[in-house]
Amino acid sequence: MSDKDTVNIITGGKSKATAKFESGPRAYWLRHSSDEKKWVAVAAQTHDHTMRVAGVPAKTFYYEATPFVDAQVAVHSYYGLDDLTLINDVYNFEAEALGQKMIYGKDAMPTIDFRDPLIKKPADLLQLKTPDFKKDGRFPYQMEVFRQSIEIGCNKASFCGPFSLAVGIRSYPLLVRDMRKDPSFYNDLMTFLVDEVLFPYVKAIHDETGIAIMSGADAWAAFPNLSTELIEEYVLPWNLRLLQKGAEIGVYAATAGTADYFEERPEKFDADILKKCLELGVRSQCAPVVFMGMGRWQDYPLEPVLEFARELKEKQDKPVMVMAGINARVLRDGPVSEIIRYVKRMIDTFAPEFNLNIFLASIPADTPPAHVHAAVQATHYFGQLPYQFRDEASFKLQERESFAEFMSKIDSL
Amino acid sequence: MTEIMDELKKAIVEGDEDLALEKLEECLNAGEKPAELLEKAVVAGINEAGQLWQENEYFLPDVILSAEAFKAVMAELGPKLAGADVKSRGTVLIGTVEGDMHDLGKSIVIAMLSSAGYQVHDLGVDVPADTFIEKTKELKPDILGLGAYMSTTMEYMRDIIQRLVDEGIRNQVKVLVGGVPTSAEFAAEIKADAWGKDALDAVEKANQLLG
Repeated sequence: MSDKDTVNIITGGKSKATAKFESGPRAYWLRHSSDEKKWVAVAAQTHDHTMRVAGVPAKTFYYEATPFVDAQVAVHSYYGLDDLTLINDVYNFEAEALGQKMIYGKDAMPTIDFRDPLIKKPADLLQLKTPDFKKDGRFPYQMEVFRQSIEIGCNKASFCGPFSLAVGIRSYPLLVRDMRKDPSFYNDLMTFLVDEVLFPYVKAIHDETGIAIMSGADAWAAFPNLSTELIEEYVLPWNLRLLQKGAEIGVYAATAGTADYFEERPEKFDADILKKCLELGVRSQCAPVVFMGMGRWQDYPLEPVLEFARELKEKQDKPVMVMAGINARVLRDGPVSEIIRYVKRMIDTFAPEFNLNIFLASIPADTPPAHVHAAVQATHYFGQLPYQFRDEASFKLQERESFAEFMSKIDSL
Repeated sequence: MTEIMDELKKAIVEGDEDLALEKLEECLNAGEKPAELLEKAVVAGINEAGQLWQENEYFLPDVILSAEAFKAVMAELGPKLAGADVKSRGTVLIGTVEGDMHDLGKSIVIAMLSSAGYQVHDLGVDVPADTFIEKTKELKPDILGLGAYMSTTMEYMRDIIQRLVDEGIRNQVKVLVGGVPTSAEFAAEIKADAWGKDALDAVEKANQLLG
């Protein structure tokens, strides 16, 4: 698998899409996604926000593939995002199909009932079986989402990372206790999840859809949910085991969010820990991707990341991709001037030397659309390639129509 | 402090729930006073864990295990404190809003608030607005703590605060909000009294709210 392929896991690899859509958001996306891009690409995790902007009820959005994909493509198109990220409640599918109790809220995505973990005692593990990926839980919905993704040029799928899945069916406190007091059971649990759940799931996705690039979500293994020592000892080996098994069938199944640096208190920022997190992220993905995800990047210094990326480039002599997250709270709370400043800071720091992608991290449901437009437009303006420094004052934010107005004229655009 | 009390404290700092319960029993059998155990071993233990967290020596797994050990010990020790001269800094009613099942952060907040001398009533997770209102009327807490961990559920906090206004009890209780998607700006927007960025900050904000 080439570096280009592995980098595509985050940004959304392009495949030849079918031209079966004549109108609506999918047709719009197909018309425009093949345009040559001369700027730093911007992607976003938008599901909660999409649901709100497009006005799709949760009971439809998280259960019916066609409205989910339509709404996601429409909102991606509205904002002018460069890559499709058709992620939904990615932490739930495997746990739900195994039998984990869920709560289905009326206005929100399904969520695991952490009061009632599926594995209350080690013996419960023996009762679990590999799910039927064609029937169990909401797998039929998710498989259909993946199938429809391919039709619009998004050839990547998602799964729940091994550690986060273990949290989902065991609960965080119990799993932490297992790590400390019963590592043998922890190993049994993780072996089951990787060998009997996640690898068969990855294989089923590949068999059903042909998708060969898959990304695992792993927020539970972010720092400081776990220390870097614990991530290295208890999380990384299982990510690599899944990666290896995937490679044996020609699939790149990398867990991407492991060790994402997410220190809440800027005064506790630690450059050494950050660098260790970045290193663990690279090792977890087996790809030269410097991942800055959900953290408070507006408050952290970027020099340690720059140093790390430079060292990585030198050591590997390979193209290095930097995935630069714009924090969800910043996106929601604004103001627009700050959003623009943070985007510009990322671009001016990384675009001169690296393949940079801006990632709008988990846009909150009620984020004002003007904030997202500001982030996208700022990326496209300051991120013109080849990179050239542009003064902040030269940027003029274009006012945009409402989502409804955009949709009313989408076929003529 | 006796050696055995020190061992109890250490078990809480290290998050060893079983050992902490064992040491608590030994302490009580040895005639140690519950109020003294609370102050010098149990509260001191969870406070030390919090301090280590602040210093980047402890991370979430360490803190959660300490909080669990604290909770287990308090469940045994609490009833024995009746009649003891244990001063409360105030009462906190806390819960995670409807549709949201996350309680990890709330567990730590409860442990830290308890250790700081607050009497905490936990309503659990997935708590409807009606329950927050009913319990606020019934228990008359000094602080109502609302947690949300999804950007879709955090908006229920706004409804709950509005309900407090509608019921005419908003000025009787301070509202402290927290959770991953929340922020100081959000707290101000929904007219909460304070935002806790994490468990330690929640204690600081509670102290400030009650002066």
